[in-house]
Amino acid sequence: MSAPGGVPAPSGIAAGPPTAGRDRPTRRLPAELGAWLFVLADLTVFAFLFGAYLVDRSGQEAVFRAGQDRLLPVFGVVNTLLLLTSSLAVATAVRLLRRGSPAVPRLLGLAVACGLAFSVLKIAEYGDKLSHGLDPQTDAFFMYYFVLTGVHWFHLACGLLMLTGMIAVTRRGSPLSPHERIYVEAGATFWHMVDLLWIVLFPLLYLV
Amino acid sequence: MSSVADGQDVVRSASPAVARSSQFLWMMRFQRACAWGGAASITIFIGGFALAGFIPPVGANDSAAEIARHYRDHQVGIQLGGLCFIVAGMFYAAFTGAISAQMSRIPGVHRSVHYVQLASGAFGCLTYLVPGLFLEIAAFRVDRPDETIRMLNDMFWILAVMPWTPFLTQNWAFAFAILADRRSPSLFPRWLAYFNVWAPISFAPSVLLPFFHAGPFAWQGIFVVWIPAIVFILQFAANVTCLLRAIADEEAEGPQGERDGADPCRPGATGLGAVGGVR
Repeated sequence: MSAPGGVPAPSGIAAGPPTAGRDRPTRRLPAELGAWLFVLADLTVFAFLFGAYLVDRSGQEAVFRAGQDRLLPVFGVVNTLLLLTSSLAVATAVRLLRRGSPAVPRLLGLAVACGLAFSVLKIAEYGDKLSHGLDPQTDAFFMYYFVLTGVHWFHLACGLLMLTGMIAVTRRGSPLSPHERIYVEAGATFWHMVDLLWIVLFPLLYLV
Repeated sequence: MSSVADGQDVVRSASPAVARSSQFLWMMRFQRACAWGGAASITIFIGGFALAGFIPPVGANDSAAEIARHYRDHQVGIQLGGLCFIVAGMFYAAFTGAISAQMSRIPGVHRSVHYVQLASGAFGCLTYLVPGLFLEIAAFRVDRPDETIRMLNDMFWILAVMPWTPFLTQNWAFAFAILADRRSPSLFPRWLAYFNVWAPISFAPSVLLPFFHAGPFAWQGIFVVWIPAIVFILQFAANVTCLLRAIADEEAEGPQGERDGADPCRPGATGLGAVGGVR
């Protein structure tokens, strides 16, 4: 990461609002290069987490299967639908952003609502597991279950904060500055990453 | 020493402009030394682990007898390692100061952002100093009962590895200042901000270490010590490199730049410029 040195302000800053409203906007990287490096770095750490899970799972398959059987897939399914809906809302909001549509903050609000619903379900699911005496100390499966979903939820909570900030920025209705635009696009990118991670996590924990 | 005295002679005898530029040069050298303090800090920090025989770490699941034997076998190394942590904390303070100084050159960044960076960096120094002291205490009398040595070892590891909170606020404040730079090119490259947002997130799994004695989330595990250690080293490399470039930029501007930078948010804006200039 330290290699590129002091390359100043990469793409994205200069190419901003001037292209907005055109029929065929010029192709450019959403947000900016750094945001994508962030996503890549974060996904790398998650790849290690998933790798550790699979390695330990191959060693004690019976324990993992037994643990998996005690999860209720309905929680996972509903949460998957919630995150997919929120991602669709965010993607639509970013597309409408270029036209300055008033629907943008409402769509982002919908995404926040989905994220909050996800959190409520997650808490209910944790409560259900804990009330049945299943906690991170129970066995290797439940350790990974709580850690992976916990780390994912921490990302989701950060994403909710970013979405809230994005609502505040887009609600004014006035055109966004280049930096605000980068912020909104970077926030959307981050939210899609949270969704993507869940899409991997859900089958890994509940189905495989 | 003699060249410092030379500098002072110039201040007394030469014209104000020459005196100012000589003083400016010394300020830049001081600042550059602080930035290099970051490189010293991480090198000495890692060296401390090596000297204490902690690469790879002793296990949180090791028996008291095993831990005690490690301390008895490595007594001098542990004493020197403890000293390394203490010294690394000292350099970290200087490094934090240099980051603050360069952050204050970004126009429009509010004081609160520097203050959070500075205060958190000072807070972060504790995470070097205190575990270093625990190592010194543990190695001070290795004829103590095994259990007692293991407790001090627990205190060292949990204090050395777990605290990521000071770094999160410090790095995020720094990142916020970088992203707030509206100029092009900005003082710091923007990717550095994203790196500094991500790095403390990758340290965060250390919150899990109290719950595990073995496995990937124990203090000797990949997510608590190995990944954070690698990221920590890369982060220092990136921050020191970019900081040195920013200092070179300030040096290229010269003392004149200092006076012209009409940035109301900058603390100490009444320095060189005000004395030599308007008043």
